[in-house]
Amino acid sequence: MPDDPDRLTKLTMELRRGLLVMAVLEALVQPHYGYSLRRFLQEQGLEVDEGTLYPLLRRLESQTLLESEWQVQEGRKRRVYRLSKTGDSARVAMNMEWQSLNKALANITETTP
Amino acid sequence: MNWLERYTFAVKSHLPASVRNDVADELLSDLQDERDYREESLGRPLTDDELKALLRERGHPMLVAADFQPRPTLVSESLFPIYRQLLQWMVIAIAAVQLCLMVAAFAGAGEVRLWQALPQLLWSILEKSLYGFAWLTLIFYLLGESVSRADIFTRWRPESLPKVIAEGDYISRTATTFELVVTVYFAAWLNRVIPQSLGDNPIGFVFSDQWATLLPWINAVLLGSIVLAVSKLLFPYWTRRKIIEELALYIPSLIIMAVIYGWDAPLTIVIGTGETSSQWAISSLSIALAMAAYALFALYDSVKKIQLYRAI
Repeated sequence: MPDDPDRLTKLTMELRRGLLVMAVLEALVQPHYGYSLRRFLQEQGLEVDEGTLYPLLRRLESQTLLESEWQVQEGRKRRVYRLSKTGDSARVAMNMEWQSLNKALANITETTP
Repeated sequence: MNWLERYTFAVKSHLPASVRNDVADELLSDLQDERDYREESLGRPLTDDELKALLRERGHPMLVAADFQPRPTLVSESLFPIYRQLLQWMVIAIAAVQLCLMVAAFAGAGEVRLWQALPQLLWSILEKSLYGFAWLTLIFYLLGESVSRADIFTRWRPESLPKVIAEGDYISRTATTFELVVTVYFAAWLNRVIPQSLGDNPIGFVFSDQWATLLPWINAVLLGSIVLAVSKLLFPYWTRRKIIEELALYIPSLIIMAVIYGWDAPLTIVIGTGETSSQWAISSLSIALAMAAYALFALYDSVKKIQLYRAI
């Protein structure tokens, strides 16, 4: 049933999962620590809970798309993430893929009655 | 230790040692930032209840830690179809081996009680299958994400697909299992691996001396039937090769039956022991009827199999 709220939530989550990687890569063109990144994404209209964001940051770092280092800021230890060279190439490639998918989706929507 | 530190400590206990401190430090820093943000918005320090509400929003420490586990499943999603197929084959192999072991264990046994042996057999199949399940799962867990199914099937070619008919039915595994059990049991009975008397009453079969000359041939046919039954269990669809093998087994069976028909009193039933025993030689007519029934069945099945062969 398409209007089943649980199913809809799962579909939305699947859609967001892929986009979230893109959003994080785009956002980390500027260095951020976890909390500031979450706030930044939230301010841009993308709510992400910590349970999703932090494991994602670690996964992207293990895939060498991100680099991180511990810094002391405002008297507090913070792990600051930034895009690596590989991550930047991935960001550009994903962006192009996104544009192409968006175009294809628009075409499909237009041609479907 | 404040609420945030207590929470972080609890999460830490569920984390893998390799990332424990790193994740905990980052979590604590995030919680402190969130607390500061809320305090700034309210213009006052958070109360204990508000701090606890913040932690409740984050969720149970075990669930928070679970998000950082390197792999949350025992068998990776990509390898699961292979895992399931191997599991199926493993259970079939265990059942076949246990059946043979049971028959072998009967060798030399004074008497066999089928109603006791069958539950034992089922239990041992279940027990061994559970061990096998655990080992197979462990192997797949250790393989983890290092092997993908693309690696395993890299040499696969479409030419290896079995030639079957599009609307062809699968061979019933239940029927094949029954066939396998009956064949193994019959082979064991005929070769005196299990006693030839039935139950507690001394009812036995006496074979004429001529059987000894035919026994190797009968065993060869039975062995062929067992191998074919195992092959049908593992790959439950009809191919031309399987049909030829099935039909080929009818020929020696019918020849053997024809030879037995020519013998004088090949089988005698004995009831009782000593002076009170009585014997009945199975009449030629009974043997002829049994053979005719088998021949008719073989003919009917062969016609169906030939039609299937031509359709493939």
